[in-house]
Amino acid sequence: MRKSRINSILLLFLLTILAVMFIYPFIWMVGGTLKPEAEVMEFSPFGSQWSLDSYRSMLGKIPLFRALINSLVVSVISTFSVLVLSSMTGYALGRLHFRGRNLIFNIILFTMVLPFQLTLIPLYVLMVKFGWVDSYAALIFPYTMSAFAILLFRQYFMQVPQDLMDAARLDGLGEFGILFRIFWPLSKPALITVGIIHFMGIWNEALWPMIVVRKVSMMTMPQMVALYVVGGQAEAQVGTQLAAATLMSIPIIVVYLVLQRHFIESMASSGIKG
Amino acid sequence: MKMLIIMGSCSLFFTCARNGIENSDYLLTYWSSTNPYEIELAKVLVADWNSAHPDSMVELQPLPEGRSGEEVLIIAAAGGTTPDICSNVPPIIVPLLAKAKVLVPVDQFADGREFIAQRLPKELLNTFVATDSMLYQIPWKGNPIMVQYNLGILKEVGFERLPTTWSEWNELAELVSGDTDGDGREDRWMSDVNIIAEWRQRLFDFYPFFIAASGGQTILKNNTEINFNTDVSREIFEFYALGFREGWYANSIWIGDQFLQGRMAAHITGPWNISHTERFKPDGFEYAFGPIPVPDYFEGEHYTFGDPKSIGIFSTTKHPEAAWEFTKFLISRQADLQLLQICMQLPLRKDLVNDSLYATYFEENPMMRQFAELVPHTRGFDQNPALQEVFDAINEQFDAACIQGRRTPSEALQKAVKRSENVLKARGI
Amino acid sequence: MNSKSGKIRSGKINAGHTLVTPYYIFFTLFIAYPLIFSFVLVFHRWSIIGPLEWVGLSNFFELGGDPLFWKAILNTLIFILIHVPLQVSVALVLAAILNSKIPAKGAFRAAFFLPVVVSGVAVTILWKQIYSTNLGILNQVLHLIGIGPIPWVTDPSWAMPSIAMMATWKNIGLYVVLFLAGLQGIPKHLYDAADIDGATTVQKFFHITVPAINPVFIVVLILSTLGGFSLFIEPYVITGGGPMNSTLSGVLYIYRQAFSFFRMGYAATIGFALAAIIMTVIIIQRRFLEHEAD
Repeated sequence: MRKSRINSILLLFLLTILAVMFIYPFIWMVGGTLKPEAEVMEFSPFGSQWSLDSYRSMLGKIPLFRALINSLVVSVISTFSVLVLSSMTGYALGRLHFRGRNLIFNIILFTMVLPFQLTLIPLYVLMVKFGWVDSYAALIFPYTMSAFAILLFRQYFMQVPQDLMDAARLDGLGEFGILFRIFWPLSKPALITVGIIHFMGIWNEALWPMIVVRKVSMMTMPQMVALYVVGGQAEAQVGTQLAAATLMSIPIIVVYLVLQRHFIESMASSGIKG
Repeated sequence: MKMLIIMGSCSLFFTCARNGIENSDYLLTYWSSTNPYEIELAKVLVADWNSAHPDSMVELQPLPEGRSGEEVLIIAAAGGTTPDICSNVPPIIVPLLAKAKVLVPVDQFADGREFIAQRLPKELLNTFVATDSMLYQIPWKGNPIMVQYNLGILKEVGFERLPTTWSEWNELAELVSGDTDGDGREDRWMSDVNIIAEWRQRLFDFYPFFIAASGGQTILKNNTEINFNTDVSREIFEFYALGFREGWYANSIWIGDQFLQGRMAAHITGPWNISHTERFKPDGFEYAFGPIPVPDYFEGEHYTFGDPKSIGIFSTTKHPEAAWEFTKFLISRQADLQLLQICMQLPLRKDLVNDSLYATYFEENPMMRQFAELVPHTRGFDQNPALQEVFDAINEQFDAACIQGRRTPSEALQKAVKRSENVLKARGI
Repeated sequence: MNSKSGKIRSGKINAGHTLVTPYYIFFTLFIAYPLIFSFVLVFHRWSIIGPLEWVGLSNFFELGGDPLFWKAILNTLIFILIHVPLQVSVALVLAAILNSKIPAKGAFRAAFFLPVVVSGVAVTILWKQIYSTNLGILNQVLHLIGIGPIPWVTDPSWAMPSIAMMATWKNIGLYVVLFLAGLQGIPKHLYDAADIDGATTVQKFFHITVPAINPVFIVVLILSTLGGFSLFIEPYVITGGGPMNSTLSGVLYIYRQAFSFFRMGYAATIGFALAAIIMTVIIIQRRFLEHEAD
């Protein structure tokens, strides 16, 4: 009994140290943004005085709020589109019968393992030829559907009892009606899962915006912050770099703290289904 | 219903996606760079032009933002959205643009070559001509690279004059570098070599040294053959490798302006740094400019890297003749004076120091005189589309041999040459 | 679109097709076309302006003899070989610990998961400073226990492992959560029976936990590996591919060829080669894992 007590305490101790290792860097980061530049790199998150210079300097150089808006527009529209269009496809694949259904299903499976490295350049060329460079179109259209979402919806929808569908048809509802008025309300967990995963993914995406957007006013947040640090505008001032990273992370961290359970549980369920 | 919303939003984006609003008042569109001084200059010049030429007015648009001017122009070229004239064309992409027939050659205009030859010294002009003997760019301005010295530090270590040879530089470096405040850590260095292994950084160490030490040669010969497979290159690698070994240049990434803070004796830079220094220097900070040091055995004129920028007329223009007239205006004597006054950058014009129009300016800005005298002796980029990769090859080996000290200079040079040869062959030049 | 009644009458076949139409469009535009064009590009030289120039197989030959390409592949593999085993094993152990009688499970879980949510760009910027040789807090801490300043990202031998460690820190929470979910599905009576037989903790772990978790394990392994091959933003922000190209990843090399040198044909070739390598690795992994599962 003693031994397992000691074991428990040791484990708890170990876990606590680890947890600190996962959280302290963020505390240090935020603290660093509020310290005078000369003290930023010091270990303690508290400086000799509070200073907002890092934020002032950064905000004076880059239109971060504009980037926030861009990220919001792109992520929200893309997520909405994925939810609608992927659920449509998942519904058709899971509940309707039509020629080529299996073929499409297999193709979707195949695209999931297709590495994006293959299509990156041609996709970019397509954007240039369409004249979509530096536009929301380029940022959103390639992200309007998701193979993962389609499969998830399909699986989920396959579990809905047939009688509900039959009853709905008797009521005169067409396929769209059945999908949005019957299936959607029943599939909240799937919707939330897909929604969160996709939103997070596209919010944090930096490579694609870096490729198709050059105009500062159209950049997304991760892109603008990455270029700010790499491009030398920060003039090697560490405080402003951390400030950019902090401002960028605050929205998602706040959402995470509030919806934590949903985040974690949707990730978990996606893993199982996947 | 939702389908409709989606379709509707799609078409909305489609139309918003293209930003091509034609303004019928203007005949020509002109892109300047995003440098605030250059925008200022552009506004002045365009206003002057427009009042004198109401029938061929020019609309000024700053260059779209981007990671680099090169990328922006290439994307514009690919999408067909190039302006009529752009004054921020990096010479390094001119071969690429020329090959794709995106730029209008100056030879197309009756007085094209002649006009340019009046402005530019012949030797310098030839470095801008393409392999097919056509001139696809109008050389506009440059920033001759020199060395800025902190006179306070030099006096402190007893150095009476500015170093002009490698030995003198190394001698100064030895005296200057080390621990000055007794805390056991080195806190002063000879100069700040940027250790980020990006080819552009080599334009401020390897390249100017190469141009100076080889008497005005560039890294390619006739724009097609490797010209840097020489002892000079190896010696430059050795020179920098020595400096890093001895701790004269530190292998760190810098925070803030170390030169103005008194931690560096020397800073390799261009005339743009004069106004920066004046704005931010601490009290009592004295400085002077000297030429890029040359090997001890070197005899001859001083050459350096000129960091040039050109003006380009794009083939999408519907009014090439008008575009050419505007371009001639941009490089007129008067406009060049305004370039000096507003931007503190040097027009690529011969005889700047002897031309009476500029006399007052040089009286008021004596430091600029030194740079102006160097203009005929500046060199830019060879006209080869694969040049950037050749620089990247050199950069890779500079990193290995000098910064990291993991390869001997001869070995490094051999690798750089080999990779460059492969690159030039692969590009089919 | 007033076709609801029309649809019911003409049968479900049309309905299916209509609903899948967006996917047809999406697939054609954003998957099929790029794939085909990618294939075409491989045989051409193209700088995005001007016409495509046919060069036959010369891009392949160049790739074969390109030391930077092979370095990029090697670097990516080094990253994966450090990052994936580290991540998977530590995640499993952590999940096992969290699954036992520990208080404040939720809090720990939330702590580990925090970095997953934050953008890779922010995490990379943060760690760029933490890893700073002379000033970073990591070396400050190590200094307290007498370990000299380690050149985390300025030394070619340390740079990629450092990035691998940072990536593990960032993603491990996700895998802890996935494993935890899997663990919670293991019936308790299996462990009780093992206790009766006198099995040790370690024995229980390897004979009950690990086999039961196998499906999740496979998913985690494949996801991690795929993620490893996508490595881009971390080396881009911290080291730019250096020092001495030791952090040049496959995707970063594609990016450089395409957007620094404007060699679209060659970049597409690299993409193809990289994709082929990825597929091979995944197939080998699956063969190996599914074999193990038996």
